[in-house]
Amino acid sequence: MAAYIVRRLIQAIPLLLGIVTLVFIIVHAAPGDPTAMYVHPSVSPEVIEQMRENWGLDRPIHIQYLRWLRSFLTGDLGVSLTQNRPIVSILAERIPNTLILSGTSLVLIFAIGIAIGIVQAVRQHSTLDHALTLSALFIYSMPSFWLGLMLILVFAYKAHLLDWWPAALKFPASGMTSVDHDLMSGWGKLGDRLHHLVLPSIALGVASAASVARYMRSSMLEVIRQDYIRTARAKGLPERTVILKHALKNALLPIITLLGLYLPFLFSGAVLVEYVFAWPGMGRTIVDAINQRDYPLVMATSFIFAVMVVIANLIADILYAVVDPRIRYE
Amino acid sequence: MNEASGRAEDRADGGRALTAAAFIPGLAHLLRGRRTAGLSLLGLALAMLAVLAFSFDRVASTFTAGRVDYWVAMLTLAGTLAAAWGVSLRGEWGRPRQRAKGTSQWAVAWREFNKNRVAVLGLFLMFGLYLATLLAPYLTSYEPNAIGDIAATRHLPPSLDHLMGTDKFGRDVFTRVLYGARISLSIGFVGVSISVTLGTVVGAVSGYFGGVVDTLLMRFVDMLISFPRLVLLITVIALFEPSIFTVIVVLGLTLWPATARIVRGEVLSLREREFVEAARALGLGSPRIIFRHIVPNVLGPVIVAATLGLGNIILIEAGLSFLGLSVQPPTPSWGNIIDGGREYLVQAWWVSTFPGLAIVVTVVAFNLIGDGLRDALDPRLRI
Repeated sequence: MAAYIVRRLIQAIPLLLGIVTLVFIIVHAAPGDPTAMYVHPSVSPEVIEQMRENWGLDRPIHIQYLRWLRSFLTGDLGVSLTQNRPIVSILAERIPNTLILSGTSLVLIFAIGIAIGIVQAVRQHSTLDHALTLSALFIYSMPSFWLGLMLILVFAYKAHLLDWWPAALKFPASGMTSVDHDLMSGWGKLGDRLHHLVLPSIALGVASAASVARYMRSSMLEVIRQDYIRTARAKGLPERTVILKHALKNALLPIITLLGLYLPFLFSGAVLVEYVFAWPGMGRTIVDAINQRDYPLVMATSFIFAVMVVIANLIADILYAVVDPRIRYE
Repeated sequence: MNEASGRAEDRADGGRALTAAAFIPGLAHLLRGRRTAGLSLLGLALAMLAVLAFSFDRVASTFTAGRVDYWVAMLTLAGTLAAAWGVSLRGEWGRPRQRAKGTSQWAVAWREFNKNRVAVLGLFLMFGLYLATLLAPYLTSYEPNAIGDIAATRHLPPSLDHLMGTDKFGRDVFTRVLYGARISLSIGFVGVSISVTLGTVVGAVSGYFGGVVDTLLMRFVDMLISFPRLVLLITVIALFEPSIFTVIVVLGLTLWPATARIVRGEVLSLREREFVEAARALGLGSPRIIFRHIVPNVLGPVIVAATLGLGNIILIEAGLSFLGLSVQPPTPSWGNIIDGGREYLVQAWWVSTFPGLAIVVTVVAFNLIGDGLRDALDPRLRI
């Protein structure tokens, strides 16, 4: 087991090196170099030349590559061109926010998806099953950013116009906290943050929840047909116990592998959803950086995104090996 | 054969009436009891005639407008009418052809697909969408980018004049959604063609040769897959100027790894089969074995991946144009219409809502077709 984990960790190293290299190639395949945005009639060519020298752009390509590699390995992601501070400190503020949003969504995705999948499998071919399958198809086909806008329209605007609508279901349209967040008590702060999380995490998560439900349904159906389930029923166990204790455990196994598959998808969605909800995370950072042509920040953010995906895949693999004793570690 | 002799009998008794009926598209099919075929032929012909009747002025203006899209619409209109009529007549008059009742893989798959009603519905939806896109200039009396009297036409709610209302510049949203479909559907189509071709070639080469080639290619695929799609796309697009061309190329060049993985998996098992060994024993070269003997056998999963990919790529393109990284305004695309309405979401909900619905319908259609194809093309599901 330990050997398996170590081997998986070692396998991730060349992958990460490859990702750094890929980012380097993308930067250098682009037309122009980072000094291009400073070229201006009032800036003398000598200054530009000096900048190129300072940034090492006059060196041969392999030296540049090695320097690039060294700076990434030492955790130095460069300096943002627009904010004039180290990218590491910018991202250190943003990464937790993205993790809070995606983490909440992930919990939502699996909780809702698994619950609906079980209901569908147990009531296979019922009207409920068909209705859920159909609505899953529509939800799965929705763009997350559009769903976000629609949620804002209904729950953050139209709902406020209705007197009878409960105040707890009137959600804020954007941001992570209210203006008066600092004045709130401890519990009030937590409540306020959760309140702000509801709409973005739904917009981000429901599409994946619909597809988890689909996998869960078929996985559950497969397990339900097995002999040991018949045995459990024959023993006279109540149906609830059979489904939730005996069948669920095995049906969940293939779902764990989805964890690694959904994370890149979730991060893609986070870019759009953070933009819609003005959520100060990495997705918003990269969009803003692109609009301001802050290339070092764009590169560093996409690199961090890729690293997060690699780590998530690692966790999913290890988790799978832990819960499924049939996996061979050799 | 049965079909042909049945037809001959028909011709003997009620044949004359049926032949006459065939002049109205689909009627003969209906009388023979082929409901779906008959109704769709009839519906198609009626829809085309309706377009002709209701926007006769615009159809007529094709000759004076001197615009390519008018001619395309004209061709589509005439072509669709002729096709509906032709199919209807050929069913009656044509020589009693042996219908494609074969047992080839594709014939069987087509029959299976036809049994799946929802998938056929998806196919109709997709067909209707493409038709509407091609006929766009006839279906609306507004121009997508024409800005009229802003004070009078800004943010009008949906009505009969403006089916989906007007936006902040007083442009008709329905027209913009219709023209935006062109961008979304064609970017999707070209992007998927590039990525699926690339993915198939890489996957087949990787799976067939194995060894170092396989390791190198698959590690590269691992790397590309590690980037969240949208992040990789916006990173690359950000370095170039966003335009239709850049977006198509970048989409095509970044979305192939998924197909490559599927194809590789299939090829790994195919290359051990006897027919490949036979081809090798005959002394055929690797390229010939790969493209003539192996690739045709993985086309099933590839087609499924392409159809499902179409829905996906439309969602991705919508996201890119929403961020302003794809087609630039004023050219409409579904994503940038939604973005345009975002600012005034509260005052004019219709601007952002309707293009989103268009995206949902389109993606649902492709997903239905994709699911239907998967069931039809996978022999393991059919015993």
